[in-house]
Amino acid sequence: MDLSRRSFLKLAGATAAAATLTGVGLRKASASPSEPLRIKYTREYFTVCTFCGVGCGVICNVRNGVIVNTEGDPDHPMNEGTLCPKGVGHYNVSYIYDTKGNPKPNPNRLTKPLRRKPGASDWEEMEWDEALEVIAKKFKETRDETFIEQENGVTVNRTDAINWLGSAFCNNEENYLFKKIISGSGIVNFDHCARL
Amino acid sequence: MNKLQYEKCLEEITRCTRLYENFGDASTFISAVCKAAYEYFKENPVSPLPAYDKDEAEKLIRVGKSLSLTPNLKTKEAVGLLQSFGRAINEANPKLKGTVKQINDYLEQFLLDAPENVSKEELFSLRDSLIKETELEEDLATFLFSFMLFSFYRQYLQPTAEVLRTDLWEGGDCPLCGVKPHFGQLRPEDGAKELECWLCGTKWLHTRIKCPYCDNTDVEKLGYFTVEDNEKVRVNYCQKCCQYYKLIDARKFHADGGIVLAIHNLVSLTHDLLARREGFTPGSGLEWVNEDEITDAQD
Repeated sequence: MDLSRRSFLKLAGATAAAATLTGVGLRKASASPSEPLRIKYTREYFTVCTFCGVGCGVICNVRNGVIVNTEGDPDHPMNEGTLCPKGVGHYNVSYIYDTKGNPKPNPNRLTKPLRRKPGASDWEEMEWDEALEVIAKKFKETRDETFIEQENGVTVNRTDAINWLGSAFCNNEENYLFKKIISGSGIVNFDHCARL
Repeated sequence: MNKLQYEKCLEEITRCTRLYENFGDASTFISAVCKAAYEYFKENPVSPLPAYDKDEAEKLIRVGKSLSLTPNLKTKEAVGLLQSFGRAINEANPKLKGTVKQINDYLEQFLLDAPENVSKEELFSLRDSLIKETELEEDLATFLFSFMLFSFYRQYLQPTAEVLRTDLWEGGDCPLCGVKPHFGQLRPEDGAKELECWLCGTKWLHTRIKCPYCDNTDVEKLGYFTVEDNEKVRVNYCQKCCQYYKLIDARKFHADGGIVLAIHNLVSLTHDLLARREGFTPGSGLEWVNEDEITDAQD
């Protein structure tokens, strides 16, 4: 039998008090089964902010499938943990607050393309494939109908009927491609939301 | 521990008493231990080791190798500091006088046979023997030995710590002494994860969503838990290696001039207990929870 001095002392009933951290005042008692503390498990996910072309790194804290907080990614080379006021508000893309200050899903968040048909007062949802189809068709029709090749004997190859608004939500590469389409289609009225 | 460090610890204890509900009773004991360390080193000053060659150190760090400096301690000094902690235990709880005497007797016996210098590993063996042979329990033993080792190594390695390029270090273990961390903080200025070595006090940045023990970066297997009404302390875990460490979210309170994380670690031992009950083990190897405390929850 492997009998340590401690076991021997215990058997002899001559033990001193057990020296624990609790014994010197460092209580862990709040974690006792009678008063269990509620644990909240959270996961962290990386994502990239879509508010502008900078592409700042964001960490989303997700609890039970719901985003509870967003913050700048300190390891991301673009923003090193910081976020602009729009980026800080990322959480509110998904959630807004009710009158009591409790978060609730943001009813204004767009998750699908919307269309308001001619003469209609309400918007209706449509699928992405259908939306792109309609946009391409309208774009081509309008461009063909309004295309001007010559003006006062000068070749202009333009349309004044289409206005293209670029977006800071898109990255640099996407905006580069947009400019190619704009120039190739003869659109002369174009701008970017960063100037608005 | 010099005067400045001692005063900083006392400041932190005051702050923690304000920040955490359950720290009031322990503050007397922790203050007494800090005072014991301060007075011990005032009477027995330690000479720091010469600094490691700066270029050589940088070369190692650049290739991802820790300097792994854990010099032997003088046995008599290590035991002397432990015995002075014993006096602090007596002050905190006179009922433990018998146990402290038991521990002191064991240490005296150890001194008779021990070599002049002992390694960190040998001191941990001494800790295990004390747990086996006396009434010293695991959690208090971890505190006494880790605080004793920290007090020496921090001074021994200070000159090297000053020339160490921790900004080049990406590993999970300490770039200076090579041990695995038990706690860290989310820096108040940017939320970066800054780990701190419990042995030598070195601080270094580590990728926020990455396990410092197994280098796992799978976000589906990494996470943290907090306790309701206390978002200041996070227990970060990895489901791949089933280990945990604690992060103090320093963004949640105002702290000028940095915080002493070792004190916050003591305040948040409840989290260690919860982590153990959830099935995670401390990646640092420091066991802050007694076996019976873990099983209590399963009764």
